[in-house]
Amino acid sequence: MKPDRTVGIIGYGGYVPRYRIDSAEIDRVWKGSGQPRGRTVMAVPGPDEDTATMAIAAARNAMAMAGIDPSLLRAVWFGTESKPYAVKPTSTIVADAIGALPEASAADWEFACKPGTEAMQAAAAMVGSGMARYAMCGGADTAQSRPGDALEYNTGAGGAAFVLGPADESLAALEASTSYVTNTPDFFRREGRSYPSHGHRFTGEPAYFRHIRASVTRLLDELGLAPSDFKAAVFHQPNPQFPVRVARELGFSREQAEPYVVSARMGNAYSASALLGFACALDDAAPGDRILLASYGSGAGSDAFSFTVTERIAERRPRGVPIERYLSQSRPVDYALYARYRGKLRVM
Amino acid sequence: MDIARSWRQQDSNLRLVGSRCRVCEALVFPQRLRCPSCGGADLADHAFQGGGTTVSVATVREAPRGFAGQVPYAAALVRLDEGPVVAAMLADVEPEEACPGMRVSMITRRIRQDGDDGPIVYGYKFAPEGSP
Amino acid sequence: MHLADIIGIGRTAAGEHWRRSLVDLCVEAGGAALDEARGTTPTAVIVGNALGGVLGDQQNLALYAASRLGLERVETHTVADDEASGGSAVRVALALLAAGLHERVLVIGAEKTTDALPDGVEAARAKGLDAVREAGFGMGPSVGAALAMRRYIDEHRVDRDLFYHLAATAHAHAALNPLAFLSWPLPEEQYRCSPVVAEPFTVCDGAPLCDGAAAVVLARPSQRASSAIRIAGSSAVSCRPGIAGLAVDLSLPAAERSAAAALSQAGLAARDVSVFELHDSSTLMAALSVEAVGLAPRGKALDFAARGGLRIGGERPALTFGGLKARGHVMGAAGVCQIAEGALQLRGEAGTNQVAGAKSALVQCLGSLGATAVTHVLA
Repeated sequence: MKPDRTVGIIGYGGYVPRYRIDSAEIDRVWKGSGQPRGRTVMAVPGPDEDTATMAIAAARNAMAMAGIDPSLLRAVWFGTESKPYAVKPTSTIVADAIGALPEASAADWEFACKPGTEAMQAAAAMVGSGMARYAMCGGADTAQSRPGDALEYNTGAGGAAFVLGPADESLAALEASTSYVTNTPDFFRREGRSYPSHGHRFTGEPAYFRHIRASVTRLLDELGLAPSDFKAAVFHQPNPQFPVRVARELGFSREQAEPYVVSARMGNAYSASALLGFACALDDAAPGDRILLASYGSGAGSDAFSFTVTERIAERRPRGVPIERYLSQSRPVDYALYARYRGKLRVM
Repeated sequence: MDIARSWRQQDSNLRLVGSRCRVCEALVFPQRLRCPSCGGADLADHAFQGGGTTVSVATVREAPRGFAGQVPYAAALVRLDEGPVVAAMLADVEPEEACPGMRVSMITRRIRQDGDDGPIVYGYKFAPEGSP
Repeated sequence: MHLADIIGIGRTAAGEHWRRSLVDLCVEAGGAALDEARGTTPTAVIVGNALGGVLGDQQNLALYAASRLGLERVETHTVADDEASGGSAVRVALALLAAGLHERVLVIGAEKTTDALPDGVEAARAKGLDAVREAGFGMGPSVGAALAMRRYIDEHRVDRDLFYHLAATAHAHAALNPLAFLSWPLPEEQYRCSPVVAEPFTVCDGAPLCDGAAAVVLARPSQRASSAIRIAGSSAVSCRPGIAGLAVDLSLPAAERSAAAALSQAGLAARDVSVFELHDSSTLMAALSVEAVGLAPRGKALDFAARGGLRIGGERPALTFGGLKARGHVMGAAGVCQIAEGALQLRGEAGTNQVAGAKSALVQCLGSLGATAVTHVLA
């Protein structure tokens, strides 16, 4: 899929909260060993943080890099599966905080872990059709997981935001995007429930791997590109292993994928997971580099994008905040404090 | 429930909107209908930049109702670069590391919520400048 | 000036009155004052109360207090000016007397805080600050005092533990007062180990909120010679609300101006006054009050207290029944309670708390962290 007018990224930004819990600490509490294989460290939002505050922080970083008047944004669209309000858009809070209201569309997108890339496709379409000069899209989540569940060993938190606009103003131009979507209930959260349910190994091959392989294969076919044409390949990161494996299956090298697997250092931030990896790749990129982004959302589908970095990245990027700054800060918390901050302790 | 009351505060809470007196150019936070300097009634909205310096800090361990979930937190007086002093909580700093004279900048956090069924109030806190 | 005569005094103990309601407290103190002023029936009842309505208690309190006291066909008003409510109620009574609208007015100050939980009371008290920008952002009177205390320590380069002496003065006097809530001396060790409320402010820096009431019957100045204690000066000033102003300036301009005006009406200087009842809602507010009234230079209140300057028998006896800090913080009752205590001193009826030869008293209560000040001078 390509828009009529060329579209690109004008600015981007991320946010990762400062607290970290070690998967060994989760294991200490639930399995008693404290020594799991594939150790990860996961970002934990503070007691005053939620999806809206993280999205606002990411959006402000993106706007600082874009350097545009917020009133020119015609859309502020965030994807999340951890809405602070079940009914009432999070995106209106974000749009208000960055000064984009009232002449903007604002809505929350939902598709498990990939609503942020859905919003990115829609924002590209809006700009590409000429309906808007600029549109913001992004994803943010305080990822939910049932205490003691396998998911808890990988759930993190964070947000990412992108300002899309005309390609000739962009720091990275969109080449094309594809989606591959089926009706696959590998992971879901029922209405009114606090934690999601999942199909264990069913979330792997019939879900994550099949959908990403399909969306990326279609994208490469559509563009006539091979994996070797890319500097970086960023995939959704439910754990640190899956993105490396799907990269290998698709013919990408470890070097193309592994540096952008942020989930080992911050956990899976659901809607923000692939987007934060993508922001890392942009932080690393030089003009001319081509970057692949492939999301995955349970339920199920994958959106794939190809971007080429422009020379504008050099002057634009220093106005933002490198994702590495967020990843390298960390304040360890134990399970007790984590449980308090995440509302996993029921008080009263 | 606190719905209209918190809605009315959103501009100041989310974007540090105060007032600028069109007569004497005084800057005031939060918004005012009358200029505290000259008494004039011709004021325009003015969004403060969000940078400031702490004047005093105190680590709160016994909080008023509605804030217990956040203790311990650092309460501070922040002198905005444009002049006004704001009472606000600090964030992204351990309370024992907070001290007067710190450079801080405005961020947005959850301030409080009205029970499980009421609105969530988002508003300004201040974090050490350049954090992370 | 001779603004009014105090012809009746009533007080309840300050403390936890589990079996008494807010209205009961009014009746207990008001009834005692009426008994003392026997033979006179007031035609107006003014009640000062800070939190009753906010804590879900009786509103239009003065109506119900008057009715339960058996006073019918009287004018009633309830005054709510935060912690200055009691002083303000006296001001309203003085205005009614001065206008010639009444001959006798019963003034009651009452507060009932123990029916609510402490965090709820602190949240309610916080509404006396800027309800939106301070209370709404996690600030309360204790947090405000803590921010000012931190500044006081930095600005005046004093040791935090020096605040002990203000608390210790109040406790020493409360230990002599059978109606006090915390009627025991405060050991320095206990002060130093006190649990933190908001660093550097500890539990022992704050005055304990409790229940209590006090009442006075005020009469228009009599033409004949009378032995009644006179209200010789009265001034209320409000200015500069906000924690920021307090903590940045470390002064109480409302308290300064109000004290100066009341003293000038009475034809006295602070050095002439025998007894000072000040608004020591915290050790920090006590220090600033001592300086505002002129008992010690800026930054020197702690030294002055450490030297025993505020003790009964000292240079400037203050908080002679224990102050808010140890007699108990009765919020909206404080202003009337102070007047009752000051009048007892001048009558020579202060018992073990008596300041020898007391001729005049300055009583001052403060609301909204000192932004509202009401001062009376008794002689």
